[in-house]
Amino acid sequence: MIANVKNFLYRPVSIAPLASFRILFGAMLLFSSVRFVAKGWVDLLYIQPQFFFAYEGFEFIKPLLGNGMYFVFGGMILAAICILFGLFYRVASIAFFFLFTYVELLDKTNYLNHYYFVSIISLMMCILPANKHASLDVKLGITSTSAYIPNWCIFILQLQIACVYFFAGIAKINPDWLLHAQPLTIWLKSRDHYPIIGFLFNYSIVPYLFSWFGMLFDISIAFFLWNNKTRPFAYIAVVVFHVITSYLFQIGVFPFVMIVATWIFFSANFHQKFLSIFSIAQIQNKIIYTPKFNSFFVALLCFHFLIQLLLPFRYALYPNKLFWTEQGYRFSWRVMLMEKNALTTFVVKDANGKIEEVCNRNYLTPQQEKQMSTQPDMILQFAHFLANEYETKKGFKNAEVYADSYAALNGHPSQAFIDNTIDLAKQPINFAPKKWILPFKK
Amino acid sequence: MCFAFAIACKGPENTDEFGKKEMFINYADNIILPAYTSYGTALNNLQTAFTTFSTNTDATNLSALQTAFLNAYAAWHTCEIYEKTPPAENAMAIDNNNYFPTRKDSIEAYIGRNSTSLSFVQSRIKSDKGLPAMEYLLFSRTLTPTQILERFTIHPNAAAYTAYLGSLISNCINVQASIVTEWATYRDTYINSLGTDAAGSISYMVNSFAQRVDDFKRHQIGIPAGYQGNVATININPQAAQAYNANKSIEYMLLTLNNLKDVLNGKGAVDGKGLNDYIRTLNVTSTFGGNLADDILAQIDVCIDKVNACGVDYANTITTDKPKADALFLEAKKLLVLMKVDVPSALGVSITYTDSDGD
Repeated sequence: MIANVKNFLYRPVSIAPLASFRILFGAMLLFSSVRFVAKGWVDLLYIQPQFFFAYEGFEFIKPLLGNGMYFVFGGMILAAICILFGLFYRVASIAFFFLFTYVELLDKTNYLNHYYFVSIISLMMCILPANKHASLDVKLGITSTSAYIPNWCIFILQLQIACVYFFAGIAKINPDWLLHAQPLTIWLKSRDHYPIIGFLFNYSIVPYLFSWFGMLFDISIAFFLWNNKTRPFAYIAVVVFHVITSYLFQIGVFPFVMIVATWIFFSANFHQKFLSIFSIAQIQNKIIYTPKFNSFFVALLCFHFLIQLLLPFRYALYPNKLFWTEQGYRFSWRVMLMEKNALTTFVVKDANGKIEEVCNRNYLTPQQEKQMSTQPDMILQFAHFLANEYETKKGFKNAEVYADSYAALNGHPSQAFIDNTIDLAKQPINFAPKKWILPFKK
Repeated sequence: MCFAFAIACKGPENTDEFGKKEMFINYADNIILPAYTSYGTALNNLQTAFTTFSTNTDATNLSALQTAFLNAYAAWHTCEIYEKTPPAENAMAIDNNNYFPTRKDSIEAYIGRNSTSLSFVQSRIKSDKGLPAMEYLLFSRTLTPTQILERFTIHPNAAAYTAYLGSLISNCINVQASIVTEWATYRDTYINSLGTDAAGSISYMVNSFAQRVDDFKRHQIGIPAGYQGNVATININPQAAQAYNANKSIEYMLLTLNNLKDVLNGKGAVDGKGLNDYIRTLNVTSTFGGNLADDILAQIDVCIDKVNACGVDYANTITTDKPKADALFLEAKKLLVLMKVDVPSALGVSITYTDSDGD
């Protein structure tokens, strides 16, 4: 058994899929970084805000002042180009991982599962020998070429992608999604004016079909991609699925990230042919490359995938409905599961009887306010920020902060969200269950 | 989804079962443009009355000017609800027309140093201009009509009072004209943007209505009644009530609520399709247990009752019978939750104005 696993992980396989993945992934990183800058989001998300919702434990991560953030994105674009061409690949991949992850850690507001995915993949790329073929590094003699690499170098990418789909599918096994077809019922109904497929959304069965199909697709697609016989059809399904979701919903580059990433499932032959389109010659040598610290990396990766397996289920440690409290929600591949809106206002009081309602817009961007309103951990962080702000800038003594909040989730009517008698300034920021979130009532 | 795609290919070209496009055409042509047009007419009448008054500054013309002003202020209440539509937002319609409480001390200071030109007024912040500033100049609870007239006749700064008032009127006219001009080009985009994305017309309408109810609760009811947020304090400020000097707070609250109801119902000169008709077809249950669309209208009616219960003088109610104002505030808050949480949730619209990557 162990011998089989070892053989599976270390047996030499063609480098072609990895090299071709590097080129496509690099191109995708380049496209999405340039797009991010072009849309003006660097300014909107990282320069304009006065306050950032730090991840617990990463409070020391701060944005750069002035135009510093543009240099960060400039560095990312440069690194993506280097990854694409396989030039100074090792340095470029490490640089990209750190720059990208640094940006993502700045503000919870901008958390997206596919950003988390890009962080993980770019970290994996740091240790993969993706520049040993079809790269400028080989051409310039910076690194030697190889024809074969250990199988784990390709398998980990496939396994990571499989995790994304599989856990996204598991997350869809919940009553809202399967029994009430929510939030798709809300979302599809409002799109009945779409050309060609719009009329479908007026049939109440259609959201159910979409919901069930989506769940089955997510759970099974990786297995069909692994199987030689089903792979071409599975890949067509991936493309159709992501193109349709991209057409229906505003999900930015996410569909293209997945269409590009699933490319890694194809065979060595296929990738060799793909590379020949760019007049990259067939591999002539028979050199087998064995990475340094081979076993060490494999051990680390086992640990990584163990965490991947456990993280999506940490929510079970918390009481109350997951979608309501969002404790243990992030980093679990929960995609498009909620239509949630909330109105959250804060009142600050002090020991001398001063009272003021906070105008959230004075401190938060519209996007931050929207995200904060529906997510209790962000409500708490903002309350702590307000207490400090009012004590230092407005002369409040021992500022108390109360949140008045109403939220609506997945077609259920609005209801009180936060206990407005609790002084949030005194509630600790940690991972313990937040008792001041009112229970969700059916 | 492949299945869906397969049958889709045989489907009709385009469907919009409820008729969202028809609804937006109704909003644009039957409701929004007529509202801005009649406000424009009322402002022109105000301008005419002002010209007459400035050439013949007497009691009769002051009275006519006051009437013309009240007509314009009443007409404004059919325009106030579109603040988050691009033409109004670009022109900063609320800031230029109806932000209160007004800063009477600053206004007096500008007049005192004769800073009264139109460009000066344009450059001032929201609490120095608009209809509330005019109201402060034209009405008073303490001065007699003769004494008000004296501001424009024998007061040492009489000319400056007149000039500042004239600039206030001109500014409103310019802003109104720019909104109407922008609507002429924006209309086509408006009636064809049927999506729920940030630039979709449903988003603009939902965000506008929510903003209006928020302002209603905060400015028209809460601030004068001493509310800091959702907490009542003992620091009431009756003079901060809308149109305090002319004692029109209650009347304008009713105009706001009735207009909200009409706009939700799509009712202009003719009764067409409105957002509430659309919400009704979605069969969404509200917090109160009924159809969300019906419960919104019922809650507006509850608010109307609570406004009426406050009598004829809101400033006086705050001072002498505050529980009535508190009751109104509470009901307005319930209406706000419906408009700002339940409505966007039912429609899948987000209360935000930015585009972003999603997943």
